Amino acid sequence: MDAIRTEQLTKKYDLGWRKGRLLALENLNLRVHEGEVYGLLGPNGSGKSTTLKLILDLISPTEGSAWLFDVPCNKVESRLHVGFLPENPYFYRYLTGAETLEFYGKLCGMGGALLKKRIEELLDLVGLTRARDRQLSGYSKGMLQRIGLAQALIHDPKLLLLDEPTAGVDPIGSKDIRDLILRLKGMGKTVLLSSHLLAQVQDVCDRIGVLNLGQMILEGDVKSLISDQRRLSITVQDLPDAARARVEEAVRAAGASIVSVEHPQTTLESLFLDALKKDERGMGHHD
Amino acid sequence: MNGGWDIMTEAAAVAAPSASHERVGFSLKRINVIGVNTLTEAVRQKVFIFLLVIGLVFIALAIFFSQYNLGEQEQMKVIKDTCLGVISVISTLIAIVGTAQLLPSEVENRTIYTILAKPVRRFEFLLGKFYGSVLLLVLSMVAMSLMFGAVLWIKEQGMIRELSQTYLGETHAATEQANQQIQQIKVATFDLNLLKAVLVDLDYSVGLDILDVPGL
Repeated sequence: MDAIRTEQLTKKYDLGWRKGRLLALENLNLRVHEGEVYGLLGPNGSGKSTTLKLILDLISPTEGSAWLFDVPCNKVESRLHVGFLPENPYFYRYLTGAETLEFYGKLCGMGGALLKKRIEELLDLVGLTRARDRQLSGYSKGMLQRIGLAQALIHDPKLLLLDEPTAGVDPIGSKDIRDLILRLKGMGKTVLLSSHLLAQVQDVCDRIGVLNLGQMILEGDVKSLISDQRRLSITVQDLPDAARARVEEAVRAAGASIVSVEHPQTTLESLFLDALKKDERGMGHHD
Repeated sequence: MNGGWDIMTEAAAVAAPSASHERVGFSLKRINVIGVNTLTEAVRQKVFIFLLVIGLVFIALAIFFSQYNLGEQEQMKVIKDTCLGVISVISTLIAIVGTAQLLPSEVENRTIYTILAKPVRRFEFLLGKFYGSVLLLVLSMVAMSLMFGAVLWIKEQGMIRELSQTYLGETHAATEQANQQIQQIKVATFDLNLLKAVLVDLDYSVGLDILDVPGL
Protein backbone atom coordinates (compact mmCIF):
# COMPACT_ATOMS: atom_id res chain seq x y z
CA MET A 1 0.00 0.00 0.00
CA ASP A 2 1.28 3.45 -0.88
CA ALA A 3 1.36 5.98 1.90
CA ILE A 4 0.80 8.76 -0.63
CA ARG A 5 -0.61 8.48 -4.12
CA THR A 6 -1.57 11.26 -6.47
CA GLU A 7 -3.00 11.04 -9.97
CA GLN A 8 -2.90 13.93 -12.41
CA LEU A 9 -2.89 16.32 -9.47
CA THR A 10 -3.17 19.87 -10.78
CA LYS A 11 -3.57 23.20 -9.06
CA LYS A 12 -4.22 26.54 -10.70
CA TYR A 13 -4.51 29.71 -8.65
CA ASP A 14 -6.76 32.54 -9.77
CA LEU A 15 -4.72 35.72 -9.91
CA GLY A 16 -7.71 38.01 -10.09
CA TRP A 17 -9.80 39.64 -12.73
CA ARG A 18 -8.05 39.82 -16.14
CA LYS A 19 -4.83 38.43 -14.71
CA GLY A 20 -5.47 34.82 -15.61
CA ARG A 21 -4.44 31.79 -13.61
CA LEU A 22 -1.14 30.62 -12.20
CA LEU A 23 -0.28 26.99 -12.83
CA ALA A 24 1.27 25.91 -9.52
CA LEU A 25 1.20 22.16 -10.10
CA GLU A 26 0.58 20.18 -13.24
CA ASN A 27 -0.42 16.55 -13.57
CA LEU A 28 1.59 15.26 -10.63
CA ASN A 29 1.68 11.48 -10.38
CA LEU A 30 3.43 10.79 -7.12
CA ARG A 31 3.79 7.56 -5.21
CA VAL A 32 5.44 7.41 -1.82
CA HIS A 33 5.76 3.87 -0.53
CA GLU A 34 5.10 2.97 3.06
CA GLY A 35 8.25 3.07 5.18
CA GLU A 36 10.37 5.17 2.84
CA VAL A 37 11.76 8.68 3.16
CA TYR A 38 10.92 10.73 0.08
CA GLY A 39 12.54 14.05 -0.64
CA LEU A 40 10.66 16.69 -2.62
CA LEU A 41 13.14 19.13 -4.09
CA GLY A 42 12.79 22.22 -6.18
CA PRO A 43 13.41 25.95 -6.28
CA ASN A 44 11.07 28.46 -4.66
CA GLY A 45 7.66 28.46 -6.33
CA SER A 46 8.13 25.06 -7.89
CA GLY A 47 5.02 23.62 -6.25
CA LYS A 48 6.42 21.73 -3.24
CA SER A 49 4.27 23.40 -0.59
CA THR A 50 1.26 23.31 -2.91
CA THR A 51 1.70 19.55 -3.22
CA LEU A 52 1.74 19.13 0.55
CA LYS A 53 -1.34 21.34 0.97
CA LEU A 54 -3.22 19.37 -1.70
CA ILE A 55 -2.31 16.08 -0.05
CA LEU A 56 -3.68 17.36 3.27
CA ASP A 57 -6.80 18.81 1.60
CA LEU A 58 -5.89 22.26 2.89
CA ILE A 59 -6.57 23.48 -0.63
CA SER A 60 -8.70 21.84 -3.31
CA PRO A 61 -7.15 20.51 -6.51
CA THR A 62 -8.21 22.01 -9.82
CA GLU A 63 -7.92 18.55 -11.34
CA GLY A 64 -6.80 15.11 -10.25
CA SER A 65 -6.97 13.24 -6.96
CA ALA A 66 -4.81 12.21 -4.05
CA TRP A 67 -4.94 9.40 -1.49
CA LEU A 68 -3.28 8.81 1.86
CA PHE A 69 -3.06 5.12 2.76
CA ASP A 70 -5.66 4.53 0.04
CA VAL A 71 -8.14 6.91 1.69
CA PRO A 72 -9.18 9.86 -0.53
CA CYS A 73 -7.60 13.06 0.76
CA ASN A 74 -10.89 14.91 0.88
CA LYS A 75 -12.03 12.58 3.69
CA VAL A 76 -11.10 13.57 7.24
CA GLU A 77 -10.13 9.95 7.97
CA SER A 78 -7.16 10.32 5.63
CA ARG A 79 -5.50 12.59 8.20
CA LEU A 80 -5.80 10.19 11.13
CA HIS A 81 -2.23 8.98 10.85
CA VAL A 82 -0.54 12.07 9.45
CA GLY A 83 1.70 14.58 11.18
CA PHE A 84 2.39 17.86 9.41
CA LEU A 85 5.03 20.49 10.01
CA PRO A 86 4.37 23.55 7.83
CA GLU A 87 7.10 25.83 6.56
CA ASN A 88 7.89 28.61 9.06
CA PRO A 89 5.20 27.44 11.47
CA TYR A 90 3.40 29.93 13.66
CA PHE A 91 1.32 28.67 16.53
CA TYR A 92 -0.90 30.35 19.09
CA ARG A 93 1.46 32.92 20.57
CA TYR A 94 -0.24 33.12 23.96
CA LEU A 95 -0.10 29.39 24.62
CA THR A 96 2.87 27.81 26.36
CA GLY A 97 4.82 24.97 24.77
CA ALA A 98 3.08 22.35 26.92
CA GLU A 99 -0.38 23.88 26.28
CA THR A 100 0.30 23.84 22.53
CA LEU A 101 1.06 20.13 22.56
CA GLU A 102 -1.95 19.47 24.79
CA PHE A 103 -4.18 21.34 22.33
CA TYR A 104 -2.98 19.35 19.31
CA GLY A 105 -3.07 16.10 21.28
CA LYS A 106 -6.70 16.67 22.24
CA LEU A 107 -7.55 17.45 18.61
CA CYS A 108 -6.20 13.99 17.80
CA GLY A 109 -8.49 12.40 20.39
CA MET A 110 -5.85 11.96 23.08
CA GLY A 111 -6.28 12.93 26.71
CA GLY A 112 -5.67 12.20 30.35
CA ALA A 113 -2.43 11.15 32.03
CA LEU A 114 -1.17 9.44 28.91
CA LEU A 115 -1.34 12.66 26.92
CA LYS A 116 0.54 14.45 29.70
CA LYS A 117 3.21 11.75 29.61
CA ARG A 118 3.45 11.99 25.83
CA ILE A 119 3.82 15.79 26.08
CA GLU A 120 6.72 15.43 28.52
CA GLU A 121 8.36 12.86 26.24
CA LEU A 122 8.10 15.10 23.21
CA LEU A 123 9.26 18.22 25.05
CA ASP A 124 12.28 16.24 26.15
CA LEU A 125 12.71 14.88 22.65
CA VAL A 126 12.91 18.32 21.03
CA GLY A 127 14.85 19.88 23.91
CA LEU A 128 12.16 22.27 25.14
CA THR A 129 11.56 20.90 28.64
CA ARG A 130 12.92 24.03 30.28
CA ALA A 131 10.76 26.23 28.02
CA ARG A 132 7.58 24.17 28.52
CA ASP A 133 5.77 26.89 30.51
CA ARG A 134 6.93 29.82 28.40
CA GLN A 135 4.48 31.40 25.95
CA LEU A 136 5.34 30.81 22.29
CA SER A 137 5.56 34.58 21.74
CA GLY A 138 8.90 34.28 23.57
CA TYR A 139 10.20 31.39 21.44
CA SER A 140 12.94 31.80 18.85
CA LYS A 141 12.42 30.65 15.26
CA GLY A 142 14.32 27.45 15.92
CA MET A 143 12.28 26.73 19.03
CA LEU A 144 9.05 27.24 17.07
CA GLN A 145 10.32 24.74 14.52
CA ARG A 146 10.99 22.27 17.33
CA ILE A 147 7.58 22.68 18.94
CA GLY A 148 6.12 22.31 15.43
CA LEU A 149 7.90 19.02 15.03
CA ALA A 150 6.67 17.90 18.46
CA GLN A 151 3.04 18.69 17.56
CA ALA A 152 3.44 16.75 14.32
CA LEU A 153 4.59 13.72 16.32
CA ILE A 154 2.07 14.05 19.16
CA HIS A 155 -0.21 11.20 18.04
CA ASP A 156 2.62 8.98 16.79
CA PRO A 157 1.59 9.22 13.13
CA LYS A 158 2.50 6.69 10.45
CA LEU A 159 3.22 9.44 7.92
CA LEU A 160 5.09 12.69 8.47
CA LEU A 161 4.94 15.60 6.05
CA LEU A 162 7.78 17.98 6.78
CA ASP A 163 7.94 21.25 4.87
CA GLU A 164 11.44 22.68 5.27
CA PRO A 165 11.93 21.12 8.73
CA THR A 166 15.37 22.63 9.27
CA ALA A 167 14.51 26.21 8.31
CA GLY A 168 15.79 28.48 11.06
CA VAL A 169 17.37 25.65 13.01
CA ASP A 170 21.07 25.78 13.92
CA PRO A 171 23.48 23.06 12.69
CA ILE A 172 23.16 21.04 15.90
CA GLY A 173 19.36 21.09 15.69
CA SER A 174 19.56 20.38 11.98
CA LYS A 175 21.65 17.29 12.64
CA ASP A 176 19.21 16.23 15.37
CA ILE A 177 16.31 16.51 12.92
CA ARG A 178 18.22 14.49 10.36
CA ASP A 179 18.93 11.81 12.98
CA LEU A 180 15.27 11.89 14.02
CA ILE A 181 14.13 11.31 10.44
CA LEU A 182 16.48 8.35 10.15
CA ARG A 183 15.16 7.01 13.46
CA LEU A 184 11.58 7.40 12.25
CA LYS A 185 12.51 5.53 9.12
CA GLY A 186 13.97 2.77 11.29
CA MET A 187 10.63 2.55 13.07
CA GLY A 188 8.85 2.02 9.78
CA LYS A 189 7.40 5.52 9.48
CA THR A 190 6.95 7.18 6.12
CA VAL A 191 8.38 10.66 5.68
CA LEU A 192 7.76 13.14 2.88
CA LEU A 193 10.38 15.82 3.19
CA SER A 194 10.49 19.11 1.33
CA SER A 195 13.84 20.83 1.65
CA HIS A 196 16.32 23.12 0.01
CA LEU A 197 19.23 21.52 1.80
CA LEU A 198 20.33 19.03 -0.81
CA ALA A 199 23.09 17.51 1.32
CA GLN A 200 20.57 16.74 4.03
CA VAL A 201 18.12 15.22 1.56
CA GLN A 202 20.90 13.11 0.12
CA ASP A 203 21.75 11.79 3.59
CA VAL A 204 18.26 10.75 4.68
CA CYS A 205 16.11 10.14 1.60
CA ASP A 206 15.56 6.85 -0.17
CA ARG A 207 13.98 8.50 -3.21
CA ILE A 208 13.68 12.04 -4.43
CA GLY A 209 11.53 13.98 -6.86
CA VAL A 210 12.53 17.31 -8.34
CA LEU A 211 9.80 19.80 -9.12
CA ASN A 212 10.24 22.81 -11.36
CA LEU A 213 7.49 25.20 -12.42
CA GLY A 214 4.88 22.77 -11.17
CA GLN A 215 6.16 19.74 -13.05
CA MET A 216 8.10 16.72 -11.87
CA ILE A 217 11.27 16.82 -13.94
CA LEU A 218 13.29 14.14 -12.20
CA GLU A 219 12.43 11.26 -9.90
CA GLY A 220 14.20 8.19 -8.67
CA ASP A 221 16.36 6.38 -6.15
CA VAL A 222 18.91 8.73 -4.60
CA LYS A 223 21.90 6.41 -4.83
CA SER A 224 21.30 5.50 -8.44
CA LEU A 225 20.64 9.11 -9.42
CA ILE A 226 23.79 10.55 -7.91
CA SER A 227 26.23 7.75 -8.67
CA ASP A 228 28.33 8.11 -11.84
CA GLN A 229 28.94 4.61 -13.18
CA ARG A 230 31.74 5.78 -15.49
CA ARG A 231 33.83 7.21 -12.69
CA LEU A 232 35.54 5.51 -9.75
CA SER A 233 36.82 7.08 -6.56
CA ILE A 234 39.46 5.31 -4.48
CA THR A 235 40.53 6.90 -1.21
CA VAL A 236 43.91 5.74 0.11
CA GLN A 237 45.85 6.77 3.15
CA ASP A 238 49.65 7.32 3.59
CA LEU A 239 50.47 6.59 -0.07
CA PRO A 240 54.16 7.30 -0.85
CA ASP A 241 54.89 9.49 -3.93
CA ALA A 242 56.64 6.62 -5.73
CA ALA A 243 53.68 4.33 -5.26
CA ARG A 244 51.32 7.08 -6.43
CA ALA A 245 53.37 7.46 -9.66
CA ARG A 246 53.09 3.72 -10.26
CA VAL A 247 49.29 3.83 -9.71
CA GLU A 248 48.92 6.69 -12.18
CA GLU A 249 51.06 4.81 -14.71
CA ALA A 250 48.92 1.71 -14.28
CA VAL A 251 45.74 3.73 -14.85
CA ARG A 252 47.10 5.19 -18.08
CA ALA A 253 48.36 1.79 -19.21
CA ALA A 254 44.81 0.43 -18.79
CA GLY A 255 43.51 3.08 -21.19
CA ALA A 256 41.72 5.10 -18.50
CA SER A 257 42.30 8.75 -17.66
CA ILE A 258 42.78 10.44 -14.29
CA VAL A 259 40.19 13.23 -13.94
CA SER A 260 41.40 14.66 -10.64
CA VAL A 261 43.74 13.87 -7.77
CA GLU A 262 42.95 15.71 -4.56
CA HIS A 263 42.90 15.40 -0.81
CA PRO A 264 39.42 14.55 0.47
CA GLN A 265 37.79 17.35 2.39
CA THR A 266 35.61 17.11 5.45
CA THR A 267 32.25 18.86 5.40
CA LEU A 268 31.77 22.19 7.13
CA GLU A 269 29.06 20.56 9.23
CA SER A 270 31.45 17.86 10.50
CA LEU A 271 34.08 20.50 11.22
CA PHE A 272 31.54 22.60 13.14
CA LEU A 273 30.22 19.68 15.18
CA ASP A 274 33.74 18.39 15.94
CA ALA A 275 34.78 21.83 17.18
CA LEU A 276 31.75 21.96 19.50
CA LYS A 277 32.39 18.45 20.78
CA LYS A 278 35.98 19.38 21.61
CA ASP A 279 34.85 22.44 23.57
CA GLU A 280 35.12 21.41 27.20
CA ARG A 281 32.20 23.64 28.19
CA GLY A 282 29.84 21.39 26.20
CA MET A 283 27.51 22.13 23.31
CA GLY A 284 25.45 25.30 23.28
CA HIS A 285 21.74 24.94 23.82
CA HIS A 286 18.71 26.82 22.67
CA ASP A 287 16.31 27.39 25.51
CA MET B 1 18.24 16.76 23.94
CA ASN B 2 21.90 16.11 24.48
CA GLY B 3 23.08 13.09 22.58
CA GLY B 4 20.49 13.33 19.83
CA TRP B 5 16.77 12.81 19.77
CA ASP B 6 15.19 9.66 20.93
CA ILE B 7 11.58 8.76 20.41
CA MET B 8 9.67 7.21 23.27
CA THR B 9 6.41 6.01 21.92
CA GLU B 10 5.15 4.09 24.93
CA ALA B 11 2.64 6.79 25.83
CA ALA B 12 1.88 7.52 22.20
CA ALA B 13 1.14 3.89 21.48
CA VAL B 14 -1.43 3.78 24.25
CA ALA B 15 -2.80 7.30 24.04
CA ALA B 16 -3.15 7.65 20.29
CA PRO B 17 -6.49 6.67 18.75
CA SER B 18 -6.65 3.07 17.75
CA ALA B 19 -5.99 2.31 14.12
CA SER B 20 -9.11 0.19 14.05
CA HIS B 21 -11.27 3.27 14.63
CA GLU B 22 -10.94 4.57 11.12
CA ARG B 23 -14.27 6.37 11.13
CA VAL B 24 -14.05 9.95 12.33
CA GLY B 25 -17.45 11.23 13.36
CA PHE B 26 -18.68 14.66 14.30
CA SER B 27 -17.08 15.53 17.61
CA LEU B 28 -18.30 17.99 20.24
CA LYS B 29 -15.04 17.37 22.10
CA ARG B 30 -12.97 18.78 19.24
CA ILE B 31 -15.30 21.78 19.00
CA ASN B 32 -14.91 22.31 22.74
CA VAL B 33 -11.10 22.03 22.50
CA ILE B 34 -10.99 24.64 19.72
CA GLY B 35 -13.48 26.85 21.58
CA VAL B 36 -11.60 26.75 24.88
CA ASN B 37 -8.36 27.42 23.01
CA THR B 38 -9.96 30.44 21.30
CA LEU B 39 -11.13 31.71 24.69
CA THR B 40 -7.70 31.17 26.30
CA GLU B 41 -5.98 32.94 23.41
CA ALA B 42 -8.38 35.90 23.62
CA VAL B 43 -8.31 36.22 27.41
CA ARG B 44 -4.51 36.44 27.38
CA GLN B 45 -4.54 39.37 24.97
CA LYS B 46 -4.02 42.78 26.49
CA VAL B 47 -6.81 44.39 24.48
CA PHE B 48 -9.43 42.11 26.07
CA ILE B 49 -8.15 42.74 29.59
CA PHE B 50 -8.03 46.49 28.86
CA LEU B 51 -11.64 46.61 27.62
CA LEU B 52 -12.90 44.51 30.50
CA VAL B 53 -11.11 46.63 33.10
CA ILE B 54 -12.51 49.80 31.49
CA GLY B 55 -16.00 48.30 31.65
CA LEU B 56 -15.65 47.24 35.28
CA VAL B 57 -14.30 50.67 36.28
CA PHE B 58 -17.18 52.52 34.60
CA ILE B 59 -19.71 50.20 36.22
CA ALA B 60 -18.11 50.82 39.62
CA LEU B 61 -18.19 54.56 38.99
CA ALA B 62 -21.96 54.40 38.51
CA ILE B 63 -22.28 54.66 42.32
CA PHE B 64 -20.71 58.10 42.22
CA PHE B 65 -22.72 59.23 39.19
CA SER B 66 -25.91 58.48 41.11
CA GLN B 67 -24.95 60.78 44.00
CA TYR B 68 -26.07 63.80 42.02
CA ASN B 69 -29.69 62.69 42.07
CA LEU B 70 -31.89 63.24 45.07
CA GLY B 71 -34.59 60.61 44.97
CA GLU B 72 -33.88 56.96 45.67
CA GLN B 73 -35.69 55.87 42.55
CA GLU B 74 -33.71 58.28 40.39
CA GLN B 75 -30.45 57.07 41.88
CA MET B 76 -31.26 53.44 41.12
CA LYS B 77 -32.35 54.39 37.62
CA VAL B 78 -29.05 56.18 36.96
CA ILE B 79 -27.11 53.12 38.17
CA LYS B 80 -29.20 50.76 36.08
CA ASP B 81 -28.95 52.84 32.90
CA THR B 82 -25.21 53.47 33.30
CA CYS B 83 -24.31 49.85 34.01
CA LEU B 84 -26.47 48.34 31.28
CA GLY B 85 -25.12 50.93 28.83
CA VAL B 86 -21.50 50.12 29.74
CA ILE B 87 -22.15 46.35 29.50
CA SER B 88 -23.73 46.85 26.09
CA VAL B 89 -20.93 49.05 24.69
CA ILE B 90 -18.03 47.02 26.13
CA SER B 91 -19.59 43.71 25.02
CA THR B 92 -19.99 45.10 21.51
CA LEU B 93 -16.36 46.26 21.46
CA ILE B 94 -15.12 42.89 22.77
CA ALA B 95 -17.25 41.11 20.17
CA ILE B 96 -15.79 43.26 17.37
CA VAL B 97 -12.18 43.10 18.56
CA GLY B 98 -12.39 39.43 19.47
CA THR B 99 -13.93 38.20 16.26
CA ALA B 100 -12.72 40.58 13.53
CA GLN B 101 -9.33 38.89 13.29
CA LEU B 102 -10.51 35.49 14.42
CA LEU B 103 -10.27 33.72 11.07
CA PRO B 104 -7.99 36.02 8.99
CA SER B 105 -5.26 35.76 11.63
CA GLU B 106 -5.56 31.97 11.55
CA VAL B 107 -4.90 32.01 7.81
CA GLU B 108 -2.16 34.67 7.98
CA ASN B 109 -0.33 32.90 10.80
CA ARG B 110 -0.93 29.51 9.15
CA THR B 111 -2.16 28.08 12.43
CA ILE B 112 -5.21 26.88 10.51
CA TYR B 113 -2.95 24.54 8.52
CA THR B 114 -1.72 22.74 11.61
CA ILE B 115 -5.28 22.32 12.88
CA LEU B 116 -6.88 21.17 9.63
CA ALA B 117 -3.94 18.81 9.08
CA LYS B 118 -5.30 16.90 12.08
CA PRO B 119 -8.53 14.89 11.77
CA VAL B 120 -10.68 18.01 12.16
CA ARG B 121 -13.50 18.98 9.83
CA ARG B 122 -13.73 22.54 8.55
CA PHE B 123 -17.15 23.14 10.07
CA GLU B 124 -15.91 21.76 13.40
CA PHE B 125 -13.16 24.35 13.28
CA LEU B 126 -15.65 27.13 12.45
CA LEU B 127 -18.08 25.98 15.15
CA GLY B 128 -15.22 25.82 17.65
CA LYS B 129 -14.16 29.35 16.81
CA PHE B 130 -17.76 30.57 17.12
CA TYR B 131 -18.18 28.73 20.42
CA GLY B 132 -14.96 30.29 21.72
CA SER B 133 -16.18 33.77 20.77
CA VAL B 134 -19.49 33.15 22.53
CA LEU B 135 -17.61 31.91 25.61
CA LEU B 136 -15.53 35.08 25.54
CA LEU B 137 -18.64 37.27 25.43
CA VAL B 138 -20.38 35.26 28.14
CA LEU B 139 -17.30 35.49 30.35
CA SER B 140 -17.00 39.26 29.92
CA MET B 141 -20.74 39.79 30.44
CA VAL B 142 -20.74 37.61 33.57
CA ALA B 143 -17.80 39.59 34.96
CA MET B 144 -19.53 42.91 34.24
CA SER B 145 -22.88 41.63 35.52
CA LEU B 146 -21.26 40.56 38.79
CA MET B 147 -19.80 44.02 39.15
CA PHE B 148 -23.24 45.49 38.32
CA GLY B 149 -24.77 43.29 41.00
CA ALA B 150 -22.11 44.33 43.50
CA VAL B 151 -22.77 48.01 42.73
CA LEU B 152 -26.52 47.51 43.22
CA TRP B 153 -25.94 45.67 46.49
CA ILE B 154 -23.60 48.36 47.81
CA LYS B 155 -26.06 51.07 46.84
CA GLU B 156 -28.96 49.16 48.35
CA GLN B 157 -27.11 48.64 51.62
CA GLY B 158 -26.22 52.32 51.68
CA MET B 159 -29.82 53.37 51.17
CA ILE B 160 -31.10 50.95 53.80
CA ARG B 161 -28.55 52.27 56.27
CA GLU B 162 -29.49 55.85 55.45
CA LEU B 163 -33.21 55.24 55.89
CA SER B 164 -32.68 53.32 59.09
CA GLN B 165 -30.67 56.15 60.53
CA THR B 166 -33.39 58.61 59.57
CA TYR B 167 -36.13 56.62 61.24
CA LEU B 168 -33.98 55.81 64.27
CA GLY B 169 -33.17 59.52 64.66
CA GLU B 170 -36.83 60.42 64.57
CA THR B 171 -37.62 57.79 67.21
CA HIS B 172 -34.83 59.03 69.41
CA ALA B 173 -36.09 62.60 69.22
CA ALA B 174 -39.58 61.50 70.04
CA THR B 175 -38.34 59.50 73.00
CA GLU B 176 -36.31 62.43 74.26
CA GLN B 177 -39.33 64.65 73.91
CA ALA B 178 -41.48 62.17 75.71
CA ASN B 179 -38.92 61.90 78.49
CA GLN B 180 -38.82 65.67 78.82
CA GLN B 181 -42.58 65.74 78.91
CA ILE B 182 -42.53 63.04 81.56
CA GLN B 183 -40.08 65.07 83.61
CA GLN B 184 -42.21 68.18 83.21
CA ILE B 185 -45.25 66.22 84.26
CA LYS B 186 -43.34 64.91 87.25
CA VAL B 187 -42.24 68.36 88.27
CA ALA B 188 -45.64 69.85 87.64
CA THR B 189 -47.45 67.19 89.69
CA PHE B 190 -44.98 67.11 92.60
CA ASP B 191 -46.95 68.26 95.73
CA LEU B 192 -45.97 68.27 99.38
CA ASN B 193 -49.51 67.41 100.46
CA LEU B 194 -49.41 64.34 98.32
CA LEU B 195 -46.06 63.45 99.82
CA LYS B 196 -47.48 64.02 103.28
CA ALA B 197 -50.41 61.76 102.56
CA VAL B 198 -48.07 59.05 101.36
CA LEU B 199 -45.91 59.36 104.44
CA VAL B 200 -48.95 59.23 106.76
CA ASP B 201 -50.04 56.14 105.06
CA LEU B 202 -46.56 54.66 105.40
CA ASP B 203 -46.42 55.68 109.08
CA TYR B 204 -49.68 54.06 109.72
CA SER B 205 -48.68 50.97 107.93
CA VAL B 206 -45.29 50.33 109.52
CA GLY B 207 -45.85 52.07 112.83
CA LEU B 208 -43.09 54.61 112.40
CA ASP B 209 -43.58 57.83 114.19
CA ILE B 210 -42.21 59.91 111.48
CA LEU B 211 -45.00 62.37 111.67
CA ASP B 212 -43.47 63.60 114.87
CA VAL B 213 -40.52 64.80 112.83
CA PRO B 214 -40.33 68.51 113.33
CA GLY B 215 -41.21 70.54 110.26
CA LEU B 216 -43.58 68.05 108.84
